[in-house]
Amino acid sequence: MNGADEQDAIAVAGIEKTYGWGGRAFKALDGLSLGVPQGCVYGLLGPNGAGKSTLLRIIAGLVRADRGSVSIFGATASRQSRRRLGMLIEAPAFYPFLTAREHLEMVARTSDSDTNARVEPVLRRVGIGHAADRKVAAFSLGMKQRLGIGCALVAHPDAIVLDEPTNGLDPDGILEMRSLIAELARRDGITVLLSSHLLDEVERVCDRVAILRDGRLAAQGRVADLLDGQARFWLSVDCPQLVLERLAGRADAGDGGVYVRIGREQAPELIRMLSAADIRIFEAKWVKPDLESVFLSETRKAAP
Amino acid sequence: MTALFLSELLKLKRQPGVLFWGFLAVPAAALAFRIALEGFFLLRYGDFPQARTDMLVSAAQSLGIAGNPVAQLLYAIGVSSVFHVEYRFSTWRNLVPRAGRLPPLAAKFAVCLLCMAIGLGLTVVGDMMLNAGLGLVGDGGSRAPAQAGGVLVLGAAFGIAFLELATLAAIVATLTLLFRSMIAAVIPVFLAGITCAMAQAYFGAAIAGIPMPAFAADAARAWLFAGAEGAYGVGGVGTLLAWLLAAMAAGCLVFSRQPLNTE
Repeated sequence: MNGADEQDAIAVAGIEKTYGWGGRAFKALDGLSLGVPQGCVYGLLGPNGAGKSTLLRIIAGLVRADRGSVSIFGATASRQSRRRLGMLIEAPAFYPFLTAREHLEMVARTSDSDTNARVEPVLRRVGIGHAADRKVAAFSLGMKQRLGIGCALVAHPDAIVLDEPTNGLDPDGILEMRSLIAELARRDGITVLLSSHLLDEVERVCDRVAILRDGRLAAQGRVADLLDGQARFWLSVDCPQLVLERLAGRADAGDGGVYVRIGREQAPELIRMLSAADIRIFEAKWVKPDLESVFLSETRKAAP
Repeated sequence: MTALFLSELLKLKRQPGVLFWGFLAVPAAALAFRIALEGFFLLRYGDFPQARTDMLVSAAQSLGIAGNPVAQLLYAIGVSSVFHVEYRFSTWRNLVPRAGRLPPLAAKFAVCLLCMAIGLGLTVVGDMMLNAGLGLVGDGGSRAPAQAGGVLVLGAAFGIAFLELATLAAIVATLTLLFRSMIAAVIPVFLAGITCAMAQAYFGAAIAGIPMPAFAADAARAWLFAGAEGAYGVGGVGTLLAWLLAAMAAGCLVFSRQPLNTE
């Protein structure tokens, strides 16, 4: 499966990565291909060990892939092309003896950015302007997380890669982060690739998601399409048992009625068939699962 | 590259402990030791031990501190700290995506070389000022003014000491990158230095031909202060250069392939 095309901000193709040797070898990524379209907020989901962090580290150039390629805005990943990315990989890591401002200035300088013009607005934007001249040693985890996002933003990136960006933030901070990420994509046109364990968060903020399982792509697409694809038809009827018998293998009892797994185009025919069988239908509706249900369904499938 | 270099300087400036003990303690200790020694002779015998010393040659000889195992231990701690800080705080992940792998290494190495050069410069200045001061305090005639040839000797001694320290820095940096640990880089270098010093004390010239950096630097210094006749000093400099280039190449190779999934 290759989800990459020319419009992709970040594309990986056939990525393989194995850690260790011999009997201790662990395949973290197994021929993974996906594309992050420009301007979208793309969520990367997967259980622990699915390969999310390895993928982000390969994109960042921290780990070499055994096979496959990474391209950034159409160019093969290199120091030059990675300059178009802002990154916050895993936990934010800083020098405790430097201040927040010094960190941002360092990143801006090494990125050839107009340092003075960029640092102040970024400090304000991520909400640590009041602590700009404090040493990072005195920062809470949430403040470090904000500074990490500041470092990702300070060098005029065209795309940012965020690994668990809401880690360590309080509820207000999570709300702010969510609106910041949405603003980056909608207002500034910055592509955002983020990984998170907070499925509710991803569902709210992402346009597209990829679900990884055992280093492979289990599902990928627009959040709305993924949810639609697993929507089920729910019926409230006078004799649910009869419906379960007639639709054996395609229906389950639940929520006081019957869930039927059919395509949208089959719904009118189903209703006609039940009516013809003298089954009284009180209510019928499409029930979309939440992202958590889709995630669990995809990640619990047996690996091919 | 300039931005990376300035960033490394800033990091070092913000770690005064590393800056002092790693790079400035050696010239300070060398000067303090000389003052103590001269003071001892002055108090004990009423005169200074050296007679008619060319200030420049004396300064050149003071640069032999670069070959002292304890001085090398302190320099090794300084160099290893500069490289190890990125593993300690997991900050390679901030540097590598944007700056690549080799430019940050080059910036760190350049900062170490700059600090070592400043350290050697301070050693020279300290020695010359001490000699000038002692000339005023004691028998002025016993401290000879600088001779023109002394400048060349001083320049050459500075070059040898700098090359020896650069080689030390390259070896320590490579070990730090390889083992991601300060201890694993500093202790072997210190033990090797001590072993070489002891072997030299026991066996003298018999082992001078072994191509170790410590022997090579001593051979180059001995050649310089013996009047720079013959070619054996050039062999010492060549050995140091070979070690420097090999250690730099090994460091670049190790780091360019190193996975930074757990710094």
